[in-house]
Amino acid sequence: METSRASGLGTRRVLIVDDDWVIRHCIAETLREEGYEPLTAAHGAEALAVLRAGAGQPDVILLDMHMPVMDGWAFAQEYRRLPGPHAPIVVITAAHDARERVLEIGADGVLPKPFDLDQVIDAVQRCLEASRPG
Amino acid sequence: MTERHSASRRAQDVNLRHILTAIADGVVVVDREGTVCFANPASEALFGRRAGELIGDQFGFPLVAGATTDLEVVGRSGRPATVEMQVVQTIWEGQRAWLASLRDITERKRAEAERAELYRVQAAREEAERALQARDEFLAVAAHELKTPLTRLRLSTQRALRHIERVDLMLPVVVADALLLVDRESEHIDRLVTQLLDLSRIENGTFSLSPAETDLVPLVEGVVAHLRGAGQPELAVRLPREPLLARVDPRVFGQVVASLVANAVRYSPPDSRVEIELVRDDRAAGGREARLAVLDRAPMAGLEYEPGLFDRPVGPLHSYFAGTGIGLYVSRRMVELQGGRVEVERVGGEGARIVVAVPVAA
Repeated sequence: METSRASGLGTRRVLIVDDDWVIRHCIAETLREEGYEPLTAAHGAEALAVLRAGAGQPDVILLDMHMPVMDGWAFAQEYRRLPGPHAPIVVITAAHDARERVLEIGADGVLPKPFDLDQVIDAVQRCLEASRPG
Repeated sequence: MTERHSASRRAQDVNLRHILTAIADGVVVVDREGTVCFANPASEALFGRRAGELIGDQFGFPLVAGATTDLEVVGRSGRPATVEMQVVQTIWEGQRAWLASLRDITERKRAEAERAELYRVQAAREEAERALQARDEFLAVAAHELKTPLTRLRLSTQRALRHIERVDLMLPVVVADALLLVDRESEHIDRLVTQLLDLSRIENGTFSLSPAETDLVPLVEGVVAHLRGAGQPELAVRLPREPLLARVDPRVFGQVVASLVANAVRYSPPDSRVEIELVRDDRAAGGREARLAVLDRAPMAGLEYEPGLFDRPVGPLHSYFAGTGIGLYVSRRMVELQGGRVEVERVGGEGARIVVAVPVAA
């Protein structure tokens, strides 16, 4: 399992925006083990700061919806105002109508709580495959 | 002059008596001593006595001029009746007297009582429905609140398990077993939470389906593969070689399969075998159908698989969790909402066979 699934394409960055430390940490560390470069933020405003800090643009964004300071809806709106290209967004939500959230912000995928780490990896891979040119 | 006057007066009295004899309401005239001095035929029926018997007798009911009172009497037929009495003061044969007009309101009273009872039953039903709705709302909120801690629990456990696998860590069996158990049980709680939410949505009619032509073969195969685990009953699967297309919501159908298989696994001894079979039946009575059978050897089967097993659990909340009630009820409703049916039969007193049948697409 030491080989990176993202290898051969350069290290892919995944921005994880979630106010829950345990969820954020587990996802970030697992993605790191899978060969991705995780970036983390506890809310939308922090995520925008991470993007502006020039740590590199993410290839996928995992976005929780209910967060303090700046929620997922507001972040998605602000993010789309930034100059492109824009990374696909995967929504993290406890809402029963998870697919509604996808439509609301024009996301590319959804992780309905509670989810597995395998589902996180699958969702990230699917987004990268879909956005791969050609 | 006086004679003419009294003659006309007599004529008036006769007219009055004619009127009193003809009207449907009972009329009784009572003098100041409380003695009945006139009773019309309608009053005979009310009191069950002839006018001749009433006249000269004590009336027996208190009389208040201008008041309306209800009297409970026994009519001619011997049946109790309710009579509404209105009293006015009058002059009868030159003396002050009371005139009581009496109306049988037994029917009206009965209708009123019926209406009140109907209203009471309806109010009780509405109250029960409100209570059910409140319970379903509570379940939905509670289930929603459980999702985030459950996600944290699952991710932490899975991360630990992945780490152990990555670094090939040798853990004491007791620790490894405990981690696997936490992982498996959190999945079970996850299923229960989802079922609670689905239940509340099924009950209030907001459960939505996205049916699509679905090949059941890989769907069943995938669900069963996910439920395999060490130290559990063996899962023996028989699937058709060809695709088996049915118009179902794949997510919901997968949930039903997972619920039934997980249930069979949970209640069967670890060294037993749970058989899962998917077949196409082109000669079913209700049209061509796909049938999924889950056969277990749960020793409690004789007790567990009673009729009504798939009915809505009605007991207090704790009975939801005591057994298998909620999952099976939700499964049944989900299958029915997709035009299918669920059947259960006991097998030789030591196991059960649950069959889910859905119409095939073509």
